[in-house]
Amino acid sequence: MISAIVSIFLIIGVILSIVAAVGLHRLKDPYTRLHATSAINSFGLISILVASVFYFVEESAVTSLRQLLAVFFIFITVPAGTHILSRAAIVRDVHVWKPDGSELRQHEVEIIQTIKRQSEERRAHRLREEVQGREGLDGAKRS
Amino acid sequence: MELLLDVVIILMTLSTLVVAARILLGPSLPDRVVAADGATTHVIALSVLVGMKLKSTTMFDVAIALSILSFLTAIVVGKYMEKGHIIDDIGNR
Repeated sequence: MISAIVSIFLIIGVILSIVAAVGLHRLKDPYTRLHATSAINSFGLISILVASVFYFVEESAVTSLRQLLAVFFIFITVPAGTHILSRAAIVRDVHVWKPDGSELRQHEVEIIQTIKRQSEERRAHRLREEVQGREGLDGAKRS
Repeated sequence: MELLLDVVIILMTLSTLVVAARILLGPSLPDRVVAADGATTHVIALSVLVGMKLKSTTMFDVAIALSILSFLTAIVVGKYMEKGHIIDDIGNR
């Protein structure tokens, strides 16, 4: 029974991992490739971890707690990393691939401009703070 | 069961190589980072599978450490790509 469950989860995990590997080559730009690595690949990893939970079911409870901790951690961190990577790709002007080679539509251009403007504003804000901090430091030295 | 585990390990290794090829091929930096992220995920899965093969539970610590490292890599390289530096005003003072 346990062996059957482990086999099913292992097969699901390896199929999803291979699909992610193929998708990384089939898809054309970083935004679509993020679908392959973030969603499918991490789901394959989670199902392999679940298979190992059932494989070591006769061990102590601490073992499965560690595995479930890894599952939980992956579940939380992968979306955050995906968000930051796609945002960075937009700021770096990586072009968006369209299936028919058409131009970007109006609302997509607006979204990209909004993200770039936010990034610029943050950079300007940080620079301003830095300059203020340095002036404050110099004043403290003089007095 | 053991045979299935061997087959799965071999398939995952080949799949890791396929993903790692994208690190070399990727035209832009985000492509390479995404591929490196996927390769790390594959290596975590492989470490868990090797732990199952060796019947040892120590490999799960490796899995947790590698997942933290992969998250950190995504964050740090993403910040570098967005802002051009990683740590605030290093070399400015």
